[in-house]
Amino acid sequence: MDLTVRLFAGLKCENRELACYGQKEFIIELQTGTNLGQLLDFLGIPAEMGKIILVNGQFKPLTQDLIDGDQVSIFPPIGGG
Amino acid sequence: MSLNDREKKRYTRHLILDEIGEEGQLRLKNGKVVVVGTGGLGSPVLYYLAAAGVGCLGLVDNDSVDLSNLQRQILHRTGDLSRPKAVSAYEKLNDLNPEINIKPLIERVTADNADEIISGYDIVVDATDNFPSRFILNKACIRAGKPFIHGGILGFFGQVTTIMPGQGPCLQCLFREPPTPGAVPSPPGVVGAVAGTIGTIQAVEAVKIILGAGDILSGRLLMYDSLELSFREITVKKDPGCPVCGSGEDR
Repeated sequence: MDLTVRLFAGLKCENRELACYGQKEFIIELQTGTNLGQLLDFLGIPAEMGKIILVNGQFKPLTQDLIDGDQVSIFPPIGGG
Repeated sequence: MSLNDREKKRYTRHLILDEIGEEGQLRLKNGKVVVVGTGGLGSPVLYYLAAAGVGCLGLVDNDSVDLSNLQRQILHRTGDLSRPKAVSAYEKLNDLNPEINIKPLIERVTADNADEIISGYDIVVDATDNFPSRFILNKACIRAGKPFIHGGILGFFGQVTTIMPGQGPCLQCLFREPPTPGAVPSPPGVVGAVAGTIGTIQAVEAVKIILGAGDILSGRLLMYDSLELSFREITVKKDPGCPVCGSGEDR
């Protein structure tokens, strides 16, 4: 399945093995059934930093299974004021 | 109600705009906006709303001015150190525009006082520096059906969106739970001018809502990256299971 990944606020693909290494917006092909936590692992983005993740514009937990065509947006909590 | 000669002179650059004119300026004069927080975001929001002639401008802050604030909180000066921010802010804004009604409140927003704090206003601006306060205000605004203009900053980055109750997603559709302690650096580093950019966008959103002009950031989270100098948007959808504006249990 193909996913569109959009990373914000300093996040980028940290997996040097991938063609999208260092990129903030890309399409990635993954096995059907991959969930959000696995996607973050694959991209080398630590999930424990409290990332906010939207799938097709809606908040989803790390256990959310992804399907072909999903658009995933990921950013850290931007909480200062 | 009409504009006096001094107001016509002060707001000349508004009056010549098709989108504002005298009718729009009178709408601004009748506008009631409360800004919660008078720090990095609150400073530009309040400066621009006061200058624009928003007739009733509330400001809420229970903090005092610290030397480490002055790198970004441009309402406050070195001579204001240790003074209540709400008082310091009131003085600057009243100097800027004595023809509007500015109401300072030295108070921390809590679940118990939020409804009362926003009750006299039509629009609420989030210039707070923490998620728990934002969640309290979001919930109060959804209950009261009032627009809530959210801004946040971190380092070289910022975000802004406008919550329109009943029309689009609320803040908790986006951020289901406050980040766990440690997920947000405390205190977070931030470039002062980033607060200026985000706060200025929040001020424009308030002006547009009052005027009924243009498209607002409802259902759109605008992400600002000052390092690469980009603005990118995320379309955000209302979550039917949201505990605040949907069918969840926490209403």
